[in-house]
Amino acid sequence: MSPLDNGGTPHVHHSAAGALDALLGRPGEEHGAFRPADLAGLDEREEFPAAACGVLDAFGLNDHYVPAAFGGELRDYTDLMQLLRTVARRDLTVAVAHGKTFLGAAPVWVAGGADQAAALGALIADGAVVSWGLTERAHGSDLLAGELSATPENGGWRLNGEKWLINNATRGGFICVLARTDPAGGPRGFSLFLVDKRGLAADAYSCPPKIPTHGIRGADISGIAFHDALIPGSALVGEVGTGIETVLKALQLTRTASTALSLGAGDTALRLGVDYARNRRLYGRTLGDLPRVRRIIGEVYAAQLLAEATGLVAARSVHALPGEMSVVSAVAKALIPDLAQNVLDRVAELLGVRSFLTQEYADGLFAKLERDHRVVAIFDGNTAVNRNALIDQFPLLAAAYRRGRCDEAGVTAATSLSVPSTEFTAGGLSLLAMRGSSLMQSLPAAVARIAEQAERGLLPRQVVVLAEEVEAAADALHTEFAELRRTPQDVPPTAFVLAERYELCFAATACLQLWLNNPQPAGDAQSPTIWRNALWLQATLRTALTRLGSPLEEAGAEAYDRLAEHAFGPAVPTLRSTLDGSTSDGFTSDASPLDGATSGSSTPDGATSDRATSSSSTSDGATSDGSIPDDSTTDDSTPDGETAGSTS
Amino acid sequence: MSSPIIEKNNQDHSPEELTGWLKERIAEHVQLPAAEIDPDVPLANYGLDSLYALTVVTEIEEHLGLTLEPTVMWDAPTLNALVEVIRAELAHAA
Ligand SMILES: Cc1cc2nc3c(=O)[nH]c(=O)nc-3n(C[C@H](O)[C@H](O)[C@H](O)COP(=O)(O)OP(=O)(O)OC[C@H]3O[C@@H](n4cnc5c(N)ncnc54)[C@H](O)[C@@H]3O)c2cc1C
Repeated sequence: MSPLDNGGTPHVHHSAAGALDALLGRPGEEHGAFRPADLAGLDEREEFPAAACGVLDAFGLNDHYVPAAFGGELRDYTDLMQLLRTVARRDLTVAVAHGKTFLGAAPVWVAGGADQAAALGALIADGAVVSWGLTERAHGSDLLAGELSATPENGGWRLNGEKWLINNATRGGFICVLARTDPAGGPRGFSLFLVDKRGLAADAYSCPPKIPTHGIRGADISGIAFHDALIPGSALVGEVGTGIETVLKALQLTRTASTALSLGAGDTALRLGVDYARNRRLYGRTLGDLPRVRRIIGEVYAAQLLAEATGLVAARSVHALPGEMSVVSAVAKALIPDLAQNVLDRVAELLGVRSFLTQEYADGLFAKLERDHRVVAIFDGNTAVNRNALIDQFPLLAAAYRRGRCDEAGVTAATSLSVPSTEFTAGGLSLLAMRGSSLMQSLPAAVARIAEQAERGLLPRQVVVLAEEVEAAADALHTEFAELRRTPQDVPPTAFVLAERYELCFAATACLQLWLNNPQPAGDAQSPTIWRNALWLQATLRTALTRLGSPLEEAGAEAYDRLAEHAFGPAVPTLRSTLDGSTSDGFTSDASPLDGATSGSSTPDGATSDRATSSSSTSDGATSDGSIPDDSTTDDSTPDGETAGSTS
Repeated sequence: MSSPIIEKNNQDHSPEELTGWLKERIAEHVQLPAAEIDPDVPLANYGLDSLYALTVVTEIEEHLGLTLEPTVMWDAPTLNALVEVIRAELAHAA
């Protein structure tokens, strides 16, 4: 756990993610185990990134997979998300390989006994790798079809059957396995077991050879087959028959955490796109000077901010609105990988031929990223499965929205980034959001507050127009929910379109509430932040509305162009990094700068400062209706977050 | 534990009345005539998917103004078992 940066200078980091970011190094100055060219080489040879995982072990990342109640450092799921995002920015294979231990252990945090959880916590702190076995060869998402069986015997259990396509099944020492304990199956017919492979007889299990994959090629994707394997009674997690329930609850945590992979991938894609636009010269000017290219950068940046807003609110909801995570986690896991994929696709278009080169440009980082990211929308519940989880709750969501049910304190806590999260206890999780989604149901009140801010001159009028459009879309959507005809067996395809629209309305509401519940770091006249004149809010709302099918007019697209100016600074600001310093608890920049040690950055300084200067003089001050005084967006004492921005 | 009382709550729910109402609801979900639903046969046999069954619970809640565990239909998988759980809850709430 040594928070030393590459130069060996001790730093005090407000957050674990900041410390990790400094340890792993900024682009061009990466830690020795995280050099893109080396990681690309491992990928090509399908070799496991052992050195990089070793660095994360030494950092103590494992401690953050273990809740404080069980001896670890996990107190806030947003911190876990930011840590995994920090790793994912460098390499998705490493993030997937290392982070899997959190996924494998999550069922024990949810349903395990206190002693069992504390014992697992100690093992993980010690470096144990835990995998999670749900999927079988013949059965993907359909957990209730699982055939691997556990039969009671002398106080213990005998396992028979195979789990297949399992991350870390071969290298991991432990695996949390979902097993059929009632031959008849059914929702009470399965139980979970934490299997310690070290305790098994040598012939009691076997792992198939590594399964070659399109992306994350170095990861240990294999499986495990049990042959009459005898495990002790103490391996049972929770009660017999609660396996499905526990898995569904644990997935609410892991699906939320997994979105960090997409956030990190999007961060890096955006950085590569900006670097390219800044440095590529065509027709005597840089690519970034072409209006169309700036528009693309702005659109991509806005999509990334929308994803980040959704992710941050989802992670905070684990603490603030645990009973609603069946909705929140499904929204996050369906929408965020989708947005990130869109970011990757747009950047690929921008990079042109360079997105296609596996070594020549930026060490092939982009081509690898694009391959690696595809898995995020597939594993831990694919997009269709998450949308289906939302569809199952449409009747609830419609009723709750109609009645305006809302846990206001929960919404405030989920969106106030500077307020420490309360302790999470798994007892608050529920298989259904019986009261709907408070965040979604807070939309009408949020729009009213936005209108009021505009009345007081605190916001450009266009934001109100956008917010009202979101509200109209949400109203119409919830009416359609109530009208949808379906049976348990047959979900009409249109329902999936409605689910997607729900995700977008949810994400837009998350943005509105983040705007309302956080101090607005306006920066100064020289370097305004993306908060000024609610610029990021305009751009993210516009993005959500465009995806909801609302036509985009040229005037509305200006927000993208103004947002793009911010992307060309020394670092692309994130919501988290712009709020840097607004609190002391760790909501600091997710990527602390190396105290001026910027030499050797992959970006020529000249281009950076030129762009920064021109942007501050041309953008943001003016809004199209001209009604906003320069200092209208109240500043607090927040230091300028932009210069402390992330390396991504 | 406070669940808003939505439709009606202050009248006696006889087992017959409850069974009849639930049978109608479930029959509608699985698109079968109510008469074909045997109260002692697991509802899953009629195609009531176990995850979907969770949401049927919310209809029961709304109708009766009760708070039930989402998994109640997993633990009481037939119509008769379900009616028994609901009656116990109603008695408890009274
Ligand atoms: C690299 C990698 C690592 C993995 N790691 C693990 C692991 O560690 N542990 C583990 O247990 N599993 C793991 N998996 C397996 C993965 O989680 C499953 O493959 C995945 O959840 C879904 O299964 P499937 O893709 O086989 O699709 P299926 O579930 O068979 O679905 C097939 C198709 O039907 C669609 N579909 C599915 N359900 C619905 C629905 N309800 N409504 C509409 N459409 C639907 C899907 O979108 C898909 O297009 C891993 C997979 C990969 C590729």
